[in-house]
Amino acid sequence: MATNVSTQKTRFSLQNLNWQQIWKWTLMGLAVIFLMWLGARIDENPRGFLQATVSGVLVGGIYSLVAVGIVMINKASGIFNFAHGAMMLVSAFIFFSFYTTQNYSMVAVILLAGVTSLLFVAMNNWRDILIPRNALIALLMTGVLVVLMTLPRDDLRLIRALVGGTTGAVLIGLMIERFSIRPLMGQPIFTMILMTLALDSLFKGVSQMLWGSIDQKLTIFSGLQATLNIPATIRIDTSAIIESRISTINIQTDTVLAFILSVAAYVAFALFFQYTNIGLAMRATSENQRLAQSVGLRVRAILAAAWAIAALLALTAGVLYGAGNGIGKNMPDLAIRAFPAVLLGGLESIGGAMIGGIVIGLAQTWADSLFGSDAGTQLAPYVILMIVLIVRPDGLFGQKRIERI
Amino acid sequence: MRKITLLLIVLLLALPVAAQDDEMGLPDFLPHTECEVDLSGQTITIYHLGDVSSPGYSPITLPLLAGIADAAAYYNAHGGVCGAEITQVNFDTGGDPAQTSVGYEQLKENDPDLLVLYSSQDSELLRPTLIEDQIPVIISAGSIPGLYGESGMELDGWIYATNPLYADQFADFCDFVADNPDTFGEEPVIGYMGWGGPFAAFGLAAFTDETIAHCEMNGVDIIDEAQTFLPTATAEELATLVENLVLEDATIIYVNALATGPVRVAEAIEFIGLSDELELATVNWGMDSSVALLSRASLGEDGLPLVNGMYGSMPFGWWTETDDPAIQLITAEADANERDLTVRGISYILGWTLVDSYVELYTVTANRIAEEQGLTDGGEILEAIDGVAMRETIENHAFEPMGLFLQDFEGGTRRSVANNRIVQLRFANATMDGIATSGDDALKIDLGDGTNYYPPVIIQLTEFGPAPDMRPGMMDEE
Repeated sequence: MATNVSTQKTRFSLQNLNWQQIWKWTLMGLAVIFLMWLGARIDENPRGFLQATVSGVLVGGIYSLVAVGIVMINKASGIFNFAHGAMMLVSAFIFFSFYTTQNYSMVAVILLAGVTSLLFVAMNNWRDILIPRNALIALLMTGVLVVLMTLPRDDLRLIRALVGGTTGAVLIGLMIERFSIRPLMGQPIFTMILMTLALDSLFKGVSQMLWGSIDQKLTIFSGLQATLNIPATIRIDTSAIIESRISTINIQTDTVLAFILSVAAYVAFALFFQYTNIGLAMRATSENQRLAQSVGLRVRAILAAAWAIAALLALTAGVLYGAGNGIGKNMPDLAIRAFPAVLLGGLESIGGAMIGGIVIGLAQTWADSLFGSDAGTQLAPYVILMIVLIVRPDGLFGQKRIERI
Repeated sequence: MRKITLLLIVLLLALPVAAQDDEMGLPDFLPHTECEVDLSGQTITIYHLGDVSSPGYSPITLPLLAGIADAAAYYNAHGGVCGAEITQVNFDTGGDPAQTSVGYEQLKENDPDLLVLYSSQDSELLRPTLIEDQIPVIISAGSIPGLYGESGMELDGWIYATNPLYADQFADFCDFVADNPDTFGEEPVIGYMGWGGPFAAFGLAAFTDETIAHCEMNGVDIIDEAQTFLPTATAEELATLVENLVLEDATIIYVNALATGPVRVAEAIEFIGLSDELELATVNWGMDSSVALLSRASLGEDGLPLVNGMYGSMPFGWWTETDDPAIQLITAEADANERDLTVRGISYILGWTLVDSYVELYTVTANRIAEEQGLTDGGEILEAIDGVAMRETIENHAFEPMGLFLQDFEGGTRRSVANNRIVQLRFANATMDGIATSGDDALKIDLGDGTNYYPPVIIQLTEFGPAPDMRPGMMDEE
């Protein structure tokens, strides 16, 4: 009997191995090796690592704003909006047009204001336009918008651009919802996702047709910098503590301003969802459309509003990014890089989108710095995304989905 | 009354014809082989296969197509190709290699005698197919694998580069650096940056073992690792890559990318505060006039755009070389067609030279085919022209398109004689008789968007001359 026990103890079997423990220790071992390598690389260029950290956080701010726009649509309608980058591009170009020129066609301006106003008052149903009160509101709105969009003075161009850009963005959002998403209601969600892909191509084509292929610089912050007497680049001297040929940590003022405004926009939208009636209605709609409808919420109007708000977020991100880096056909790629941020944070989590954006920004700049190439920009967001999807498929802050089979 | 009206209508209809007759014939500075055939009523099509919609190549392909359109209209008004009308057909690949293959198959159905490509990636992809189908291709510059296969030693091929290959341009710049120690120092070190990802065929085309060896043989060190980036990269992102090169002691940054590339790199260099320490250089596409538009809001401490002083190759005539009648003509036509600044790039000029090449190549080929086969009917002559006939003309007929560069493939080389020159990008002064030394004395055009456009000027630093041949094995012949 004793002999038998001894034989069982010494017998080697793959099935008897504790694979979970082996994986755990292997991963920990790899992590230690990676950290040792990382420490050595940071030690080689500590200033570069510090610079990458600052840049990563600032770049991540814009990613966060883009990610919030994508989450917004997903929360309201369950659609992953692939056209968000192209919406950024077109709305930023509309802003740019109002900012840079006064020689616009009055017919185009009146049409822009008029159609936006009509779609706005008829968010729920076309017949709403026939209600006298709504028609009057649309008329008044059109008048006010036309006046603001045609402000003649050069020093008022920021107001002109803000009103023109906002009107254009709202029009884009409402038109997408009304003409491409609403007719597909009841169809599989995949159909609507494909529609956003089609819209992406459409918007890119339209932007090329109207604004050409050369990047345009948006100089909205230069006036502010001059007024506040801030240099274009803030340089923090590190020569006393770190010896390097490059002796400063550099921060672009444009990027800092964009980051601050991104955070402000994020806070404003978070408060909107938490404390306003329409924000709460959107959250309710996103949870369960039928239930929301049964308690009297106008689901179609809420969805339209969600698209309009997402378009406004796209405008904000497009303008802030454009102020630092120019508006050009590359802009939609920014949204592609923000997709990992959305999935990392969790598809439904606005807070997650914010954190996801910053994590992706940091991963990118750290990897660029550590690997000595743009591997970070090209690979790091997706490597992180893969890891997160394997470890936490619902993202860091996403809702766990339990489906009854 | 009705008769008078009819007469007036006939007169009005006749007017353009009369005007056209007056315009027939090209000006003296555009000499061409005399037509010995009449191709009236026929059509000659320029088939372009390329990316005109993605952010990568569209900044050069859209002006190219505009240049072809304007030039075709001009040449058609001046007799076309021995009477044949020039038209253009374009297939947009969107930068997708799968679409390149689809587009090629579509264009091939038209039985083209000649194709135009503008992407190294497309040329590398289609190289074997073109050999099989015997269709010659004209490309502006190009990569060694695109022309000579992966090994760089394959001598058969149907793609002809009219301007120096990217590797040749980089080697030429190295020679210039080596010849100018006062400017670049006794121990110059070049850090190479180029477009990566799907654009790597172009971005890394100049970073070859042969080029590196050539540069180092001449005393110019090249940092071992090239830094690649996407066209979407921001200045802040590029700063990290520039820092990587600076930490390896780079004194010069060479950028193999379209115009946005050197502009963003210049911004990155300024961002890390090394504008005074680093020199910037680029390939011919980086010396596009669009850099002035792209960098108009990125000014240095001197008040001039950050790309002021950038070095690069310019193997053909440029916008500010206004003594040249061809440049005068192109400028006048761009004005007449109300082309805006975004279209007036170097590829707009190359669109014109391409049409001029087509006129010459088709004239010579049509004359020869008509004589050889005893044909007189225009339709039959064009029908008889095929890729093989066109290739024979390309390889045996040296020509200067609009007098702006030499196109010479004699002896079967598919890399043109590759004359190149090194130039420097500067900006015009307010009186337009010299170079601006600062923003204060620069010529500025208010664009109404809160920025000024600083008209760029190029300064020729070396004479036109053959660039080094950087094909594998060619260094031994130097």
